[in-house]
Amino acid sequence: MVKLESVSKMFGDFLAVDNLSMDVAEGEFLTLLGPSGCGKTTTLRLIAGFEQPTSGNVYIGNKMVNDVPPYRRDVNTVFQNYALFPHLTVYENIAFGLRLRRLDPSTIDERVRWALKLVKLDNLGERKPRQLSGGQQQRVALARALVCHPKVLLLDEPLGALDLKMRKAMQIELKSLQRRLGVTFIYVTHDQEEALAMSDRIAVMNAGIVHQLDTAAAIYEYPKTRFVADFIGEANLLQARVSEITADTVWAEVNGHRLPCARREGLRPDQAIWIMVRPENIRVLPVSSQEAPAPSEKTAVVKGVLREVVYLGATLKAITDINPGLTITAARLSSSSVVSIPTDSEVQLHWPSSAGHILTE
Amino acid sequence: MAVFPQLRRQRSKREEPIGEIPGGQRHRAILLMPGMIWLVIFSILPLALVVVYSFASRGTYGGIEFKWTLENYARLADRLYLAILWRSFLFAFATTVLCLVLGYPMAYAIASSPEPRKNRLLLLIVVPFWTNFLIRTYAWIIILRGQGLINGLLMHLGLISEPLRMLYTPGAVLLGFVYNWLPFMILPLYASLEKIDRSYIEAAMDLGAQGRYVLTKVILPLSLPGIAAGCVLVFIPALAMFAIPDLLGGARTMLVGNLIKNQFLSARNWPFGSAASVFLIVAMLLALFIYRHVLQRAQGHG
Repeated sequence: MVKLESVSKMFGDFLAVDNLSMDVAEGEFLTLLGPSGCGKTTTLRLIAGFEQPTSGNVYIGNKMVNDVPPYRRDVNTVFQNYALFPHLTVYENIAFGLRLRRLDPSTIDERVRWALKLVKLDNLGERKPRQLSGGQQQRVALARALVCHPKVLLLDEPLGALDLKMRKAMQIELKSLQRRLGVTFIYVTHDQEEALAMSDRIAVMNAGIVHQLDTAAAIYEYPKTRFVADFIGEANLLQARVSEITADTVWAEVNGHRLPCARREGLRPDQAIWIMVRPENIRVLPVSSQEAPAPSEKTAVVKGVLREVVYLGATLKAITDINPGLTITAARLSSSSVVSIPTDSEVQLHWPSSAGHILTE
Repeated sequence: MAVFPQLRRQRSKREEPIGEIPGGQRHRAILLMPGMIWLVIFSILPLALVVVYSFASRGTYGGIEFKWTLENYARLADRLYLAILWRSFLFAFATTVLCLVLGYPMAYAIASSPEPRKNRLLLLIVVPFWTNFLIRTYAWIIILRGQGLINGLLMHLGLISEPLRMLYTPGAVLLGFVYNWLPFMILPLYASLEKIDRSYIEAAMDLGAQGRYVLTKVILPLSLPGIAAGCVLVFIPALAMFAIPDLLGGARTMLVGNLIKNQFLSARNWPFGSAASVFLIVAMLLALFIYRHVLQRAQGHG
């Protein structure tokens, strides 16, 4: 439905989007995720037509649209600050795009009422935007864009200004709305949780480059780069070196510790790598525990000193110092036995070797 | 009455108010005192005198006799004076409209210029204020008169054989008015156009609107506070101006400002001059009232 082909965008000397290519399928919910300044909003504006690519091509529905102005593109945008016209009522804001299409008044009325119902604001048509709460304004912006029946809806951090509770509720609502209407959504956010909760696929961006474009689960479990591993969720990233490759395990050496990792193609001995282990895959046991498995091809084990246990409600975080100069964080349920281990005592950490994910870049 | 509430709003948005004054109400009164004394002595008191005089009678030798009468106001309804009032209104109105028509595109162009050029253009708008207003008006005499710049150039080019009569015509007065008040229109227009968030324009384009529709449905309504402020800043002083018609208009373009000036200085009929002044003040208050109304509607309180 939307295709970017080696698109780059320069602002003066600044390369905002760097040779970006992606394909968004019809009816897909795709999220551009990244820190501020990563080029995600610029990418969205290139699709909306507010910016022209310095090089490369933008396609919407198989048509090249590089030179098509925003008012002729079959996309609509929900702006970050909503950009509701302050001098018009909610009803007139939503009708704005329809009046331009020269539809007859009864059709316009019908469609505006449909849109108001869609976002559950049936009774607020006569209000001015300033008389609405942030959440209501957000819904009006959504209705104003959807009432035009765009092929693609572009959303630029639409929930950024809402409080946490409202944001969570809107995430679920947006997702179900998208599924019901079957409209392609391209959604920009810097909030990884939001991206994970809603998206069919996520494009993780940094410095104008897409680091990885994949499903939420794939991005979380098999990040391609250190940036992705670090940006999505929490990760222990250990600088390492390939020491031995066997039939189904890669042995890596981390500051003198030998750790088994999940097998991966294309590695050679002595190559510099990073190992990523998600905190929730790591178990913490007292050093004397009988439960502890022996180190093997299947299990990585390291000893260390428990430095701190941080209580986070449902979970807790156990921070362990490993000699020399390594810190590994484990996340366990608050009900786990970690609470009974005194801090500054010796512990052993272990995780299945399949949880050790190797990164090369 | 806050005459320019939109200026106040703008300021309070950018920076927090300094907050509660230590010592509260009593200290605030002390801070207000000097300004209040100034206003009472030099503004309120003379104004009250004018109102009082407007109900008095003219003495035989131009003095004031405190015999109360409505005669001065009744005299304003005289056809001669009604014509002057009507002409003054027309001049002020035409000046306002011309300033708006000329000023809006200029203000829009400045507001949409990139940063360094924007400041240079704004400076150019303000530059005329560095010269005294009377001197600038005299300059127009030199430009417009029979042997002036325009006539000289046209005759030199052979386009005309004898000088065009431009000075001492109503056209010259209107030209002087528009020239003098154009900056007062451009600056508030610029301020309100510059404040319009670009995302409104982008949102309109995103919904399918092209240039003219964006201008009439989004930019114009959003700049309404600036239009109203500019119109008030031009209309009100234009209604009372006497120096420009004196210098550029000759005897036949007498406006209410000249009438008042003459009553006070030459005719020495202070009560009648006062009545004309009070009438003018009421007209201005009316204009301000309309302005506030427009502003409130534009801000969505309507």
